[in-house]
Amino acid sequence: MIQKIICQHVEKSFKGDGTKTIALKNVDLGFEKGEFSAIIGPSGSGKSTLLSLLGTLDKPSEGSITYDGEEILKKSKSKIADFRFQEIGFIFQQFHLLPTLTSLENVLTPLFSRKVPYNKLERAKEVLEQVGLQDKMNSLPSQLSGGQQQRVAIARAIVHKPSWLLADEPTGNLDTETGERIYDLLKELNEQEGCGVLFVTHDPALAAKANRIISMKDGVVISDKVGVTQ
Amino acid sequence: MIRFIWQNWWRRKERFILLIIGAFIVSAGLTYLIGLSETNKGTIVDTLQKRWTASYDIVVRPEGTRSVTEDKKLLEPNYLSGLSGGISLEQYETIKAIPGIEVAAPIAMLGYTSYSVNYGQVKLSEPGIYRRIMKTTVNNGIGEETEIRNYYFPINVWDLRNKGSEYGVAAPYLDWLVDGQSLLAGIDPEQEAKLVGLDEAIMELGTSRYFVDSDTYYFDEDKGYHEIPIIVNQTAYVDKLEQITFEKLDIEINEENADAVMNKVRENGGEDYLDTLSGEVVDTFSVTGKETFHAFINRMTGVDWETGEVIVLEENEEEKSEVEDPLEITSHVDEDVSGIVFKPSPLVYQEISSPYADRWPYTYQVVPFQNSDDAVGVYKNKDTFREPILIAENYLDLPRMKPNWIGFYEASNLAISMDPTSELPMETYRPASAEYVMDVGGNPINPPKQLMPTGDPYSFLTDPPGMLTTIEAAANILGEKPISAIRIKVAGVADLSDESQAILEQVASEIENRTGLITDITLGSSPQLALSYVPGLNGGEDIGWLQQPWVNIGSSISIFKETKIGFSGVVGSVIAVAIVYVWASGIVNLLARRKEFAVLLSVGWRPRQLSRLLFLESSIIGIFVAVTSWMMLGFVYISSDATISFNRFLWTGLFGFIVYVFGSFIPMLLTRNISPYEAMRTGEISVNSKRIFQTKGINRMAFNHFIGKWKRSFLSVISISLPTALLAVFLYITFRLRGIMYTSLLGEYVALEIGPAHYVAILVSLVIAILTTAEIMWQNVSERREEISLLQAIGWKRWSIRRLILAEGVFSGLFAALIGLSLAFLIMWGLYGAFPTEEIGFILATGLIPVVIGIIGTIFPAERAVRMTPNQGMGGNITNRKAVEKRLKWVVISTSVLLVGTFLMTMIKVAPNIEQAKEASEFEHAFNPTEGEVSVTEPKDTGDQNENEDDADDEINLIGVDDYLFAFNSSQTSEDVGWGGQFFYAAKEVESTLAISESGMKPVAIEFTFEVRDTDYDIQPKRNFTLINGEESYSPEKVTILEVEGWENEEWLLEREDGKMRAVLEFIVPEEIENYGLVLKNSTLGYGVLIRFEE
Repeated sequence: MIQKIICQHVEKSFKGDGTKTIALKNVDLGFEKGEFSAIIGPSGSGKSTLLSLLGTLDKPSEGSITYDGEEILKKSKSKIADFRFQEIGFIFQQFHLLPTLTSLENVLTPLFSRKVPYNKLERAKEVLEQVGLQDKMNSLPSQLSGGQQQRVAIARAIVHKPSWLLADEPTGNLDTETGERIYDLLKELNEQEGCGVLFVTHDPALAAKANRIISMKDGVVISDKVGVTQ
Repeated sequence: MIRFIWQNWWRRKERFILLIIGAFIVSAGLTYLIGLSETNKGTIVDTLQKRWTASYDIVVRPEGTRSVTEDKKLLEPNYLSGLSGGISLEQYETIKAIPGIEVAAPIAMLGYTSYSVNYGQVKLSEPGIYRRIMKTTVNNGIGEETEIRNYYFPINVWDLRNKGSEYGVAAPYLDWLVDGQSLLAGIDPEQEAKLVGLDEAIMELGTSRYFVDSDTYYFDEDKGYHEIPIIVNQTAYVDKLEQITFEKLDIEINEENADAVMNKVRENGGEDYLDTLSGEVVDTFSVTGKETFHAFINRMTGVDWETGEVIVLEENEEEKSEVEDPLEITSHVDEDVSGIVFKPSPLVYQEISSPYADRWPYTYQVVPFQNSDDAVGVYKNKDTFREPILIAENYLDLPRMKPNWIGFYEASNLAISMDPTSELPMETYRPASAEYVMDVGGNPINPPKQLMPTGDPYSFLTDPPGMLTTIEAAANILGEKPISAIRIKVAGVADLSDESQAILEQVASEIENRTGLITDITLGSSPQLALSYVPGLNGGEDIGWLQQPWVNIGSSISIFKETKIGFSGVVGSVIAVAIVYVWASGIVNLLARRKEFAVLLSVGWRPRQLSRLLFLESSIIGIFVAVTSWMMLGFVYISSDATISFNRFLWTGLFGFIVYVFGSFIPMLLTRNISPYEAMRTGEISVNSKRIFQTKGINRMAFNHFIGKWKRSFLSVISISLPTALLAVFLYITFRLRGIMYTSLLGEYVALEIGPAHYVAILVSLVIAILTTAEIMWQNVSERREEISLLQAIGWKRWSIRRLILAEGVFSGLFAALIGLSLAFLIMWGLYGAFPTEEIGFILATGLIPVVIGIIGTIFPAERAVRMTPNQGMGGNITNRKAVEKRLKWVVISTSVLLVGTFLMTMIKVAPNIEQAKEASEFEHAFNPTEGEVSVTEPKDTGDQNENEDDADDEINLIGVDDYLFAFNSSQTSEDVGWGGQFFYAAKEVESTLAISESGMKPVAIEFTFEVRDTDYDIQPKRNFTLINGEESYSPEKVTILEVEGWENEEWLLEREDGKMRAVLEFIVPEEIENYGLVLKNSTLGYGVLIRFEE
């Protein structure tokens, strides 16, 4: 269980055809388990990049990210993957469900060829119930609405009991009402399971509900404040 | 995981169908190319190499021995046996010293040694005039030649002394004496052992052994003969029967009227008169040529030999008999045992035009030799095929020799090819083969009859040497230039190749330079069927047309090379195309699922898990392909009797598996480049597309896209261009070689090679290429879904979109054509060293094929693109609706069944044909299409009287010879139809022991005898025999083996153990059947042998 994630002088740049795009500049941030944080900012401000770095999907160009003092990203790809499996759950804006698999199978994907102390199938069903999709277990993603798909994605993100949930604009492709429900679900998970939730959004209303709001612009953190509704 | 993979396939139906079709095509192609065609045809090339090689690489001959046939680069088989001397020992030593020569085996034909065996004397007590009839019957394969020689003598009735031959009678000749001739040749024991393993062919019989250094020549000054060491050939090739009959003439003669009667005889014409008189048989005796030879050998190896008295004793006896009867005229006894009279001589040929130039481009007529009055006794005023040459002018100068027997050798155990149908002719140790294919009138003889040597030194076919001595002995007997030919083996020449040819040419020219002798390179020579017209001798009827495999010097090496490149090239290209296809589909699969994989990585999958996933997928398809191939092969095997070796069987499946597993490696490597971060990105997929032209229209847009995705485009280009290149080359070879192809046996094989198998292979490759293109274009279209939707949204017409996609296919095709044709020209350049200028048009035309392939491969994806609607959502075409599932399941199943079924049908139909083709070229070159033979028409119209019987008759007759390897009647044996050399086979009906269980049925029992003679045959009576009547066939109900020898594993009758079987087969057949045929069919007999049983 990772208690603390600390970013020190984190910088991320992408090299293209002769041009260098800086996505993140000198970010110093710390996250505690159990926090419910929102990252907010306009397009291209580096929110998603930051999230992917925190979620070990990518490596920073400069600086370091430590997880309880450990620099996971310096390890081998397999170790990083193991870390992701144990600690991180990811939710994408596009949901990214595997189109050929049913809800249940999608939820099961992280558990493939992993040894876990619990019954995989039971666990998958349990989390699907948790997100309120017990009746859609055998549906293909194409047969689900956007909100349902995102809930499957959330179920997939929590099936392996991660200590951190990272969501990249989880409500961005959904209407306000559905978005609200997804948000509530995340909040619920934060409270019940005690996982640290970190989500990217550009909806200020949604961000305002978080414990902590990090605002970004042009790859720089411009503010880091405690949310209004605590 | 497996489930995951399966869902992934199953829910992407179109892809899955493509995948399955691909797998089927790959497995069918591999099954055909590796499993079937290799067994039946592919290895022919290798077999050729193994079989059609002489045991030597170069043959050296004396100058001036070129025959007229060599204008056409042809050598008559057993040409070597017709040569007599011309090379000195010095020249031989020179050749031996040339570096690179591994074996230089000289052969010196000493000549024909006469021998005779005396089986005792007839007891004639009654006085009178007797006739001794010596009847020699020689089976020359075509028929029996009979020669009768009469000899008359008086017994106790008339005093012969001082009487001339005009009385027609001579001194009593009471011996059961039979003589024969055997070719004696000198060899170098050491070299011969190296060349053909002569030392290994020595039989273990008494003191029989091979030459050692102490076996030397010795000239006995006192007695005036040469003592030479000899080893004797145990195999007799002449089928000869000698019959001696003594008759007492019906002529009234007693001591009183003897003078008067004899004077009358003289007046009436002497011997000619006596020939007209009838006589009464007193005693008769017959012996085969083989027995005579054996008896002769026995005498040399028997007790007499042990005491060392053979020749001396013989001579003493003869001297004694001469003393006893000083009037003895026939003097052969003395000389025959130990004399050499005749030297070998060649046949003289004359070129004539062929009656069937397509079949036999080379035809010659044998010019017989007319012997004059001066010729030696037996040939005086007679025609012979070869010119009789005496070893010495003067009778007294004929070499007399005392053969010191050393051992026996078995010619069939020599390390030379003994299969008369496929060997390169011109071996020293077996008679040349000749088939009687057409009679004088040009009517085909069906089946052709195998001509056999007659034992006469100057007959058409010569016997191989019956006795061998050392070259030293030969030199002492023959003088300065004893060697008639030297067979050379060169070090470092193992197979047919350019290097071998170069080495040989170098060595050959070295020999010519140093010795001035003629050399011919036999490696890379092909047997060539030539037709010879053989006239009758001595006013007899002409014999007709004989077909013989001649040696076409050096003809084959280039054809051979082309074939070899051809077939391995074709198989290689199919495999390459298959691998490219598998890669392409693997890569496409990866590209399509790249994002999925990124997501999987981001949810915590290890990269290795992705690799495992891909590997597993490939393995599953690989196993599927392997199992499919095995099943197809198994099915073909069961249903068509094709023989498939276990190894090949194993490899066919394994190969498919390996191709697929290897195919997964590249995608596996590529997964390493997938970053989990890609899951975060949305929208764009590939960022770097290259632009060469500014996009101004549909074609340029397509072209830019084609170039932009050049890596995958390259895959489809390669997969199309490989088969294109080969196709062009094969077409070219086919056209180019059409003329030369059929002029040699090897050429016929080549023709067979660049036949269906090649084109089928190319077809398979092309279909796979279509699939590859389709896969890739499919992916392109999928990736450009948004783009295409957008184009539609902004108002592009459907046709424009279709054109956009098809144009890409055309570009693939054009590039493939470019690469393929360049490749083809390069190959042709490599093969012939020149660009084909004449055929350039049609070669360029083959360039159209890839374009067509490119278009075909794109049609499917293009249609898909056209059907895309602007509003089609993300995972729109993935469903698991029950109805669709079900329908699809059926589609997939029926497609598979159809595909596999069609394949199997073709295979079953084709496989026997392949065998037939092979058989035909192996055994039945001579078979002219026999239109004239099989006409059985008349009973059809008059079938109203006794229908049953007539029908039965009809049907049994309808079983034409063509349906079987050969057929004969139950009263005959295999020997009667010219197959006696291969095996003895006969059958007769016997009393059945079976009880009849059903009414209307009757038991039939047939006892058969099968003895192997030339090679091993598999006989499993229960399986291999059937009784046929018209369309119906019956299997044996019961098999009783009466006698069996050398039956390995109850399957193979082994030649080396003199395999033999006598057994009774019992069948139950309907009562009305009277005429039937017994068919023996096994793997060695091809079409089987039919014995007709007719009432």
